[in-house]
Amino acid sequence: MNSHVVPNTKGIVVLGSTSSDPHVVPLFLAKLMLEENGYQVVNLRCFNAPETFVTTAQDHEDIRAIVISNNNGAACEDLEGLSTALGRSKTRIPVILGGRAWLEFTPEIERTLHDHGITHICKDFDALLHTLETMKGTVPCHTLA
Amino acid sequence: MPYPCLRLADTLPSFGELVAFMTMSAKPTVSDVMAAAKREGRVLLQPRGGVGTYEGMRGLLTDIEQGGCADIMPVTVDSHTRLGRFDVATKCLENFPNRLNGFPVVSHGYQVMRQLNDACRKPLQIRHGSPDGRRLMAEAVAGGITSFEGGPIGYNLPYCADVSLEDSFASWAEIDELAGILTEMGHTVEREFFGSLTAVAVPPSIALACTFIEAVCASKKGVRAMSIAIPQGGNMVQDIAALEAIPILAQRYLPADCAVYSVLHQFMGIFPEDRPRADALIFSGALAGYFGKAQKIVCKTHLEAKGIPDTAAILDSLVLSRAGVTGRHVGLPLDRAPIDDERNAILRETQELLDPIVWETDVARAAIEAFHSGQMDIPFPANDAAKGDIFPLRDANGGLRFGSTGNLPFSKASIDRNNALLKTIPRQSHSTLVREAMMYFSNKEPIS
Repeated sequence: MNSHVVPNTKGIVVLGSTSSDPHVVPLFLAKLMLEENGYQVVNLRCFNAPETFVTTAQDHEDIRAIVISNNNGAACEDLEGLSTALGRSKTRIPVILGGRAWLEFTPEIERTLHDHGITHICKDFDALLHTLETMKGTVPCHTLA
Repeated sequence: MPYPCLRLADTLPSFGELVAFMTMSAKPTVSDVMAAAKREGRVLLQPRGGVGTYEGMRGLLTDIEQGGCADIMPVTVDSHTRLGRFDVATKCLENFPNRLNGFPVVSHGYQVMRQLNDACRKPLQIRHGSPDGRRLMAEAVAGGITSFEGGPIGYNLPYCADVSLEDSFASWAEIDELAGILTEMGHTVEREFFGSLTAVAVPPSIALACTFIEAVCASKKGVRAMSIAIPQGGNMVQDIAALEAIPILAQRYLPADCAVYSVLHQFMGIFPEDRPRADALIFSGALAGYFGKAQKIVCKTHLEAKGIPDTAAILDSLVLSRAGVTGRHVGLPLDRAPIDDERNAILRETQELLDPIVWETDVARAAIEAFHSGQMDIPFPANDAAKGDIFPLRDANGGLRFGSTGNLPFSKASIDRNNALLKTIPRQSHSTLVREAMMYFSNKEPIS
């Protein structure tokens, strides 16, 4: 069975898990789904430092978003330094977080993630796709999908 | 002379002392009990289990042994030790032992391992997940352990992002070399290869190809007792067929004087949350092991979906599995035709993967290059030393097939059969089908 061939015309998504998170399967699932829906995906796989996402995104033109997965509840700690890296970047890139990134979601966690530079939080794959499809341009806005 | 693995720490015993200790041991080795099981047509059971403290670990093993259904005892190692963070494991052991998710073998040291080994009548095996298990191997064999799990592919690609295959093949070659030297001196250290990989819907030919690459490398270092472990996929015909393929592949690829054993890991993927369905999956794994003539089953518990199981759950699952492997519950004759067809297909795929690699002089180098080019691959690798261009789907009967074969060197016959078996599944996106393949047994719908 060959993969569905969809022209990748919607831009590039940089995808990976955070520095302490070994969960790689959700990344491959997200990659499959994004490619089926017209995105080109750079899959950094697992254990990525925050600056890796940003420098990888800077290496590509037509970046649509950085999509970060965290499934060990350590997103707040692992993403320290992301805002600094984004600040050094010359382009404004939407940064979407998904997975099981916390034990219990609280306003404080939302604030911390926003301060780190997360622009959108998605609870599942469908929400990720919906967010990418409905984002206006590349101007980050903080929303919980 | 610096001996492999033993050279890594001054605290380890000399080779002479190690051999003297092994000579004095009156306990049967893992290889002894596996060989007896093969001879007598029995299926051995092994649970998983590991806690931080010596007292806790001894208590766990004693309780399991008193339960009467385990044949080989586990020493599951904690995550810090697996990653070589021995100092972190030691600090944890001193201050927060309950935070350890396994037994920190290196922190305790080989003398404590000897006490633990002495506390059990049954042989112990180390189960871990280290890309570099050399120090662990040294402490283990010095502690009286006669079987050591893992290999350069199965304990690297699914777990590690930053360890090269070159490094993991080199580390595991040293482990195999020590096992080979000891074997040559009459002290068999069995090696077990972990075909479950990422534990998520691994097609049998991929599990078999990875483990046989590791087994061939080990045999070249003198290892003469080895277990090929593959995961229960959940389709009984395919699971039996995959187990039946092991001795045939062993005959083709391994020296005649190697003792090769078949091992089945009960389902390693996403488990049902409710006990009836979890128990059904455990029992069907036991039946697959029985019909597939496995020598050992590594058991799961009904609490798999909920976290680390308690002792009661471990004992219950062993009793359930024991009931399955006696074969008394299913006296029906097997329909051989679909099993034979599936086994032949698995053999063809596996040989198409292995033949370009294992006949090379430098098998490790050939394997590494095959992974880099995608001629060998695994689904969902953490490590970019493997391309990860293949992914699994399930056919209409739940058999594991390839949604994409990537750059695998499969023949037209293999690809045509794979695609034909996927023709009857619903037309949905691959991402949906892959998710369904993974969640196959975790359905929460009421049983009707």
